[in-house]
Amino acid sequence: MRRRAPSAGSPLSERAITALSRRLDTVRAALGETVPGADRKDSEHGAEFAARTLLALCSRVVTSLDTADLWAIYVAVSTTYPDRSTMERLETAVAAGSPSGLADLTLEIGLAAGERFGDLAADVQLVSGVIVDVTFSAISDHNTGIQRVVRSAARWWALDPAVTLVAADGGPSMHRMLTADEAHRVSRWNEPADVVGSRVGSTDLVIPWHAVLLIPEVPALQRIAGLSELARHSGNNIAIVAHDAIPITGREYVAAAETERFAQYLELVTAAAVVTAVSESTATEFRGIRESSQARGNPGFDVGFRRLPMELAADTSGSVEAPLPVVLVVGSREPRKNQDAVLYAAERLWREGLQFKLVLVGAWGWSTGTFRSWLRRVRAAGRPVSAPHSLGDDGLWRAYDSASFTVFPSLQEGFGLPIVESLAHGVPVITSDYGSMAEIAEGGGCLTIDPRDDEQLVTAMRSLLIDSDLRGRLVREIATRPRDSWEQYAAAVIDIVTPYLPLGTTE
Amino acid sequence: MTREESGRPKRSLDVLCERLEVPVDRWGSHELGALHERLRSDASARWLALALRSGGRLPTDVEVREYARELALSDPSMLGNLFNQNSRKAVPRIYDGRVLVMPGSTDYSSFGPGGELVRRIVENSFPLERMLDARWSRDRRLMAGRTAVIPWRSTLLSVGIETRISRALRLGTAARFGAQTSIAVGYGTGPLVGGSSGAAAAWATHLTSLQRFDQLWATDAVVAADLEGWRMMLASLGVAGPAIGVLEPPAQGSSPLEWSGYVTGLVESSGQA
Repeated sequence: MRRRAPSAGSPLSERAITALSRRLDTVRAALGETVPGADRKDSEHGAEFAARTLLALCSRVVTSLDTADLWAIYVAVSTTYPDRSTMERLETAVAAGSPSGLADLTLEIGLAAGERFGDLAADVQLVSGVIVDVTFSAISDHNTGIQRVVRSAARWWALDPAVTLVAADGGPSMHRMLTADEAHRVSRWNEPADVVGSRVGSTDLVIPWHAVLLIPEVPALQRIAGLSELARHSGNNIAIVAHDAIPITGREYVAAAETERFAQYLELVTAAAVVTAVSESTATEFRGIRESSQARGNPGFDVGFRRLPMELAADTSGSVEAPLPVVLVVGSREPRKNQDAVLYAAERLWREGLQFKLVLVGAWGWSTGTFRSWLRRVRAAGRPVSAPHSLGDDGLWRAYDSASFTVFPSLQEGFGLPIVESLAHGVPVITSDYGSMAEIAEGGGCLTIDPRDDEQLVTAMRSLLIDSDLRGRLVREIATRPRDSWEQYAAAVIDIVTPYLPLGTTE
Repeated sequence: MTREESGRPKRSLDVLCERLEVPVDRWGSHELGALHERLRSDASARWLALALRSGGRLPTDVEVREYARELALSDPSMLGNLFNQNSRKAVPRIYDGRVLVMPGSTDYSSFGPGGELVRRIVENSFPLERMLDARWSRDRRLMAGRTAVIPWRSTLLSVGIETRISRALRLGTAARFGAQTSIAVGYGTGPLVGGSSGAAAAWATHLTSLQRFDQLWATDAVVAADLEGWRMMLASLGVAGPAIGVLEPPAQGSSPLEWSGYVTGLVESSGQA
């Protein structure tokens, strides 16, 4: 039977037809399917060949009922990831048993999706091994929290030949290789722009193939449906780096839209094979999510954790002398960070006659009324306080080096990067006595307090301001803490997810 | 002669001192220094003080904490000013030893599960001794009929879904500082885990209100297992979460007597799960 040439709502350009033909041929070769003419040179891959190849692939799926093959064929045609309803339509066509019917449907809905969200003129690569989706860190210059973690680890992932860094564009777009700029933004942040990763240069689309897709960021909402179907049907496994579950447990600390987005993200998490959390506390949260999900009859996922490392992120000049002892607070200004408690405690101690400077570094977040009110109050009283919203990396390292101690009494964290940054600079920390913060504090160099108890905070700050022996003991504890590096962290995460490579992987 | 003996109407400061058993001086006035000290050291006392001084508006954790700061940085002699002595607001009723049955936002929201269950519980709690139907007013007071009530040392029984964050936080704080016992009917994690229908934030809000409750009664074993997962997550907040048990509501068509038995069981079985 001769197939008609592929067509979508509007005619495909010759370039797009050739690209479609090549994409289908790539999948055909990976599946070991034979089609007459497949050995012809690239320039001869036209509409007829595309039609023959697609029909051969659809015949294979109608016989094998293999949804992973079906998924790959659709992705090759559309250059997008199918959502649940698309997969259901395709599976219905498979069940009908007609290869030509399946081919027609794949072209009809695939090319329509591709025209809207994909890149029908692009080539594809099948990529196995561990694929890391670094989309947000690749396209954005935002550099707090999760992006700092991703960039610190991606620096090392980019050097690992078994790891491929990828990104995706909006909507259900499939993955693609990073551009040179993106690769630099992800893996060489703060370095001159002429240094790029070794696997960069092609911007081909990427079909994960017997791979683990590692997702260390919370993807954009529009991408969740496609990634969830990838987890369920593609034959690839998804691994998640989990940072926290604050949007569902700490509802009062986030906007409603953030909770809605996170709930969608959990659809992806519950379809994943493994979650590796940044702290034991976060691992416990995700075990809870798993328990709830399994109670509703959903399959589970494995949960492990690898704590983020304590590594000095930049060269520092050592201790910086300051006229007054400096108490440093690092973190965005929002109710969860509990910085109004620090301002209150400082005011109490200033009234007692203690001499120190309070420095609060952090961007303005949301619902800052209480914080602003306390800041105005201590400023009006002439207290030595400064509150820069940003110092840049170098300025922040100098601030750590000038500090007597830091205070991080957050009400909820997935990890608490400012704690390990402070410790990496040899500076003691006052932090919260539960969750990830207590976990980090266990290693020494910290005083822990109930962050909801202002009196405990006042007492701890007073102690570190007047008791040099205590401060000295904490500094010595920091010196004995085991240190690890982002290189070790990056390797450990790959070690955790590698066992989830599907059988049949070639790497 | 105390104010009560003088026949003047009691003001909220008088009510507060009586409830907290603050000693009176030889002139028959409550000792403000003692009250100041009590309020500084006792968060429950501060919760009651704030509820009284605002005419029954239940405070949040943040407000209770800010009040402690206000007290610590002020002179005890200023307590009368802090307490707004001259307020003409009606002194709300303090209910102790009662069960306040709260339907939450269920009456007003379209997605609430078990709307019928909530209605049945509220209906069948009416005739029961000590039970009081309590609903939020628009200005964040808890109303029994047309009276603002403060659930001091009483039992809170939340039977619906609380979807508004301001109310949820106030309910949670009341459970923590005001109530003797706090009990809720548990409906699970709703749309939070495994795909959302646009109601995830409302559901997370509801569960926020229950973090400090003493007891959740799940409607069946599956819901209880679901809620155990949620409770596990609360460790990151430094919160142990409520005890979770199963108390299945009567089947459809059950008699009012069976419903009364269920409602009574929600209260009397707490602490025994």
